[in-house]
Amino acid sequence: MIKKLLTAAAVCAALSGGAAHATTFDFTYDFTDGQAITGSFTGTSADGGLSATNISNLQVTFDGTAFAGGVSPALILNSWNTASATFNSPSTSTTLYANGSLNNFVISDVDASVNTSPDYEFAYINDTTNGIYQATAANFIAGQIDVDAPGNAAGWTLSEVATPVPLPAALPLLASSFGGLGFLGFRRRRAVR
Amino acid sequence: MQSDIKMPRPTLLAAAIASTLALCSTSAFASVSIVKGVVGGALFTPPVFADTAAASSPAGTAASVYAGATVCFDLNGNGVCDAGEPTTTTSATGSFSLISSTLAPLVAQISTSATNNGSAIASRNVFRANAAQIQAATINPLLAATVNLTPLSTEVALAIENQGRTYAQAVANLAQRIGVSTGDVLLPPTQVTNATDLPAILKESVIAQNRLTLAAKFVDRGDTVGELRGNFDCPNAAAATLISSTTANTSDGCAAGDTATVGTLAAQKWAFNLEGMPQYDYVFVIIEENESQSSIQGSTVAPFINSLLSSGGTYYNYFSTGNPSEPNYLALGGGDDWGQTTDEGLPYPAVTGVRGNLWNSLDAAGLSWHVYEGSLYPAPAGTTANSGATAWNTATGGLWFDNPANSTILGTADKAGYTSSLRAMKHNPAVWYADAAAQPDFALNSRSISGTGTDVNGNAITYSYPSNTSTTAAYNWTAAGDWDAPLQAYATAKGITSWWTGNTQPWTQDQFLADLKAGTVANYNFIVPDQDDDMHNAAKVIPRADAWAENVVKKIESSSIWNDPTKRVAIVITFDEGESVSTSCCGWNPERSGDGKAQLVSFSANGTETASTANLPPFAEAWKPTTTFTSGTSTTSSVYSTGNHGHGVTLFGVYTNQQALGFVPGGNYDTDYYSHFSFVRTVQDMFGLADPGQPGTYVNRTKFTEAFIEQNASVLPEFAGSANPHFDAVRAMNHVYQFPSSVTRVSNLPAGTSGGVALPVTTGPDATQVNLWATQ
Repeated sequence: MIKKLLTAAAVCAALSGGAAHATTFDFTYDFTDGQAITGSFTGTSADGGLSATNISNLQVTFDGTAFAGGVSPALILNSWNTASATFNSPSTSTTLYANGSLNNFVISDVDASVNTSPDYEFAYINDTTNGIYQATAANFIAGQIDVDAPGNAAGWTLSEVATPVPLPAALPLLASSFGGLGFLGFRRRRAVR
Repeated sequence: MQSDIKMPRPTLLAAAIASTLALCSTSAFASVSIVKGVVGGALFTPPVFADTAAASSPAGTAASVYAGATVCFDLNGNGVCDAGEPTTTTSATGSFSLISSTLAPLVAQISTSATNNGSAIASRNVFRANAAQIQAATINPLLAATVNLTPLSTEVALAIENQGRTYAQAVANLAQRIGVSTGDVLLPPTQVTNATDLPAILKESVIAQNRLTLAAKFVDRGDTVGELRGNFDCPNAAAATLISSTTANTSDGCAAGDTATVGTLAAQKWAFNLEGMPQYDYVFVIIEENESQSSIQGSTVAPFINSLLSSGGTYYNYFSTGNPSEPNYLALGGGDDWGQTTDEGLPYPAVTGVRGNLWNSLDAAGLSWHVYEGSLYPAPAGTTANSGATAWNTATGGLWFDNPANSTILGTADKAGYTSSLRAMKHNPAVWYADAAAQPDFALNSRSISGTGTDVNGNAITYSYPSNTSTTAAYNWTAAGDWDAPLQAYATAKGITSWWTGNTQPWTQDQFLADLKAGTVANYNFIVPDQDDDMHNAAKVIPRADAWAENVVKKIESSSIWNDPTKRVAIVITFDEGESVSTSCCGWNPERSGDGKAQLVSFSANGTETASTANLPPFAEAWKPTTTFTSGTSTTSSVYSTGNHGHGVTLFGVYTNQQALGFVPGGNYDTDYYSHFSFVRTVQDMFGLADPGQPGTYVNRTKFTEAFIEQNASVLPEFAGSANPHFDAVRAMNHVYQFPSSVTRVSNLPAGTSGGVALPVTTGPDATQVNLWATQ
């Protein structure tokens, strides 16, 4: 019984160890004409999963074609500045919301605060100050474009993925845990014999 | 929306240039461009023309979108969607979205496979948007800018390209010119909700669409610059049969650049400048009676008209086309008189059968026209529509009759009552055309005018001529417009309403002034004084008509449309007849008169002869009822072979607000040969009513250019063996032709004839070749 408890503790430690606050999110945007954006990122969940910050590891696919970049070089997230009608410098505080009508961002392969010539971009703006309500996806390499104006909040989803542990940090612990379990089993089998 | 092609990647050179420029500035120079919008315009349903009101119907216009149009970023700026340029196709709602790695103008190619509000498109078109429009609509380069492609966005692009306007100026000018807000002017009409702006935008869309359709035809046909700028000695098509094989042509041929074919951008520029004639928004024609040029030009008894000529421009070889009045008014209304040689009288209308004329052409292009007549008799409600009447002198309506039966009002002048010698229906150039007079808008377009009273601001208009020349008070210039007050009093006392408002408003004897105040004058306004005020009636002195004309011109000059620098307004003053000699030009060949051959030949739009009758019935018999009329009996001898072949020179002056506002110089002259036919051709050009590359689209004899006559020499025998093809041919009054140094004018008048002055040039080129209708 004690052995079983030790084994369970080891597994739990492995699964919950290292990046305790990092979560994988998936998001989608369905344009009204049928084209779609799908993507994912790693971030910190907030508001019971209704928003995310500290966003990294962005990956986006526009109607089946992936935005080149991804993890390395990373796609970049910039928030929208309603006062200047420009994009802010990248920040860990930039938030994406499950409620589409709260979003004001662009994901692209450039830092949109200083570069307005991306190859790929997905912008989702709800700017009451300037009257901009727009979702725009563009792949300048393939000539793909779609624009919803005003932005279609019902077409947006953001959700946490169930697996919360970053795999690289958990792997050694998981391996040692399974190794310990194997040793116990070895000893058990030898005793029976 | 998926674009049709891959985006071109920047070349190494382009990348290097972009990088270099990026070092110089941190601006968004190298920004991508994302646009969304609608390709929109107007769906125009042309009017149906017929001899009867029942068979006629008015035009209709609806806001529309173009589905299936090709939209592209025009990376090389040639006005064409080329291979390799980012391209997409508009949806069923006319919408599109498109991206480009570089900013470039937008082009919408509307082919015949596209649809306009679901309707088929007969002839292709191209709309454009200047890159500056995209920049102005861009809030941030990573967000889509809303840029609509419409006829009006194309006009803005043309103003930027050809008039040196900034985008903001071009938009503001266009909005002001058509009287709409800058916020609405570039919207597709389907998105315009302002009830005042929408009709104005729809009308301008129709006008511009028509011209842009012409531009596409210019490109498709390979038209040349010379042809489009109105150099009639540099035709694109080769002459088929020379009309003169023995006489040296006076043509000066093609100028530098004339033989170049036009691309889309140049074609669209010329489409708004057909045959070198600028587009005008408003034209006012004041028609006088029976004076030669030499009796008016320089005359001390016509001081105002001469001041107008000094400020504007003068034509020195402008020919009337017949004698007496009616053939000239027929010509001014439709470019032919079909051999009529008399004042045939009433009833009206006369010319049956759908024959081309200015009035129908204006209607068919979505433009408006009014005929303003002096001393128009107030007609009780419901008494205007007597177009089919034959007992012309028994009805009471004032629209159709010179002397209504109840015209018993007493004047204070020389007559006991209103008589047929005052207002002359025969001087109305529209009423002769049955298919114009039968149109639902004919009564609406027939309005009153006074040559007395104040300007639009209520200021008095005084005539400065120092003395009266007649011992009879009624003949003095102070009597000008002397019937206006009695007629107004009669109308007021009887409670008569005006037919042009559908009898919803009280009659006014000066609807012209009211229209100027309200900005509701037509695009083309033909102004007819009564016969006491137009130099017609015996002993009615020239100063009286001069004073009447000054009053009308001063009213125009005080109007907002005249003083608006974005609007193009012209005033013409001319006469129906001129010198009492039967020497004429420009559509007639008097040298061939009496050949006994009918000249009424039918032509298709491209100028090909479609029908020719060797011996047409006399013109009069073709239309005239057998009734013997009070004003005279019918005649049956009016055929071309025995009819008019032109008439003498008269005065033609033009004064524009472009000159008055200082945009172009005034005081110039043009000694080329023109006639009423030339003027009607000119009007068709300035309002975009015909296609210079399709001779048959010009009405009647206005199509008889030198090239056209040459190409149809076999069916136009009156021109065969012409001694001077240039003299005998019609052309727009554009002053493009430059006389060779040795050429003496055919019809110069001697100095001092009838108190006039010598013409300033008799041989060689004019002092300048400036177009007297030039605009900024």
